[in-house]
Amino acid sequence: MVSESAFLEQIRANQGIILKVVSLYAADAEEKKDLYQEILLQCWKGWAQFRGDSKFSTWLYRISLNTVLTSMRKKTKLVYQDELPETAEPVTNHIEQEDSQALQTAIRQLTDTDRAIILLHLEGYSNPEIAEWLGISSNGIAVKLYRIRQRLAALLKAPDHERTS
Amino acid sequence: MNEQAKWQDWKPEDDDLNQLLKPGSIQKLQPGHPLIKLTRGLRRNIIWSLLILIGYVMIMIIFPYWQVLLTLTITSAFTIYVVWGAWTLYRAIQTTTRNSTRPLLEELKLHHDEISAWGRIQIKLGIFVYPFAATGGYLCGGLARTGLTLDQLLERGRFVYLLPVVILVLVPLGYLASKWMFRRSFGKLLIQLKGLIDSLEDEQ
Repeated sequence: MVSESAFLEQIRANQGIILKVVSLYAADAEEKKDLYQEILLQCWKGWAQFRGDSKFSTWLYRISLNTVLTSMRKKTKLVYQDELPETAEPVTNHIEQEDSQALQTAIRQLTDTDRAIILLHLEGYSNPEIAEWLGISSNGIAVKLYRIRQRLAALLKAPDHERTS
Repeated sequence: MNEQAKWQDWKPEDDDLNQLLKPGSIQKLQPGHPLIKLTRGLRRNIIWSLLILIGYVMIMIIFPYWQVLLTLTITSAFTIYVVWGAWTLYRAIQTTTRNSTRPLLEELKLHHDEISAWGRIQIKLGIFVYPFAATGGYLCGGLARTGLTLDQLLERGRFVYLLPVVILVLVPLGYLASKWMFRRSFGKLLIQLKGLIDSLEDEQ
């Protein structure tokens, strides 16, 4: 017997995952609501099959990302720079100085798959784990992450980055 | 504090999500996921095709001329083939939508392949079924409208000459219409999925 109350309790305890994923992908308020519904439905359908082999948060992340990336979404505006500015400073410094809101704004300007990779990285998942999730090689993730961090550093360094979401 | 700690420290909240987490709300949610929409379309397609098949059988009983029997038998055979394809696809999508925890690349490819398969079914329908369906429909329409026998009808030059015109007009129209509808429903999504697949495979 599938218990709705147990399901909702688990979702409530981990709702930050859904909110973070949707905040990075939804183009507007209407799409945000649609994505919440879609993710909740997919989770509800898969809830009976959730055996607890992985943590609930991991399972929820996986369903949320898969659902968001396979849904028909409006195109979000990508305003990133192709040419990265020359910098001698370590790229992480800029990222570390920013608050999560600025970081979120910068991440929203990455491509869909790059957003998924950096999101999982920021949540503390290791490269092999991210690689397994996405179905690509661990080396591929390392290369991607390096490029993403460079791009984020450039975006965060840009004085007007907060206006480009 | 590094960026990971800051990110993990961020605890967003949203009333829209809280509303959906009230007891009973889950049961009322309407799916908008493209694959679920596609299964609905497939289900409708299968039901309509079966009803049309019954219609073909009735027409064959009413007009038992070999020409009508031939065109409608071929049309029925292709319709059964298309229904079988649609049913197989429907079952495959049901399995896909029940399990959203595959690796993302695999999930994206499955979605792309299953939606493209639906497009191929439409094209097969257009190329193989429509010429026979148009001929059968034209013959039956002529028989029903004039009340003549088929032999008498085929002696009318104008009726015979118009048949290829009907086929030449209706078949491309039907084909283009189904292709347009498919592109309108799933074209953007297919491009989006292909873009995601390519961007993930770039690093392979």
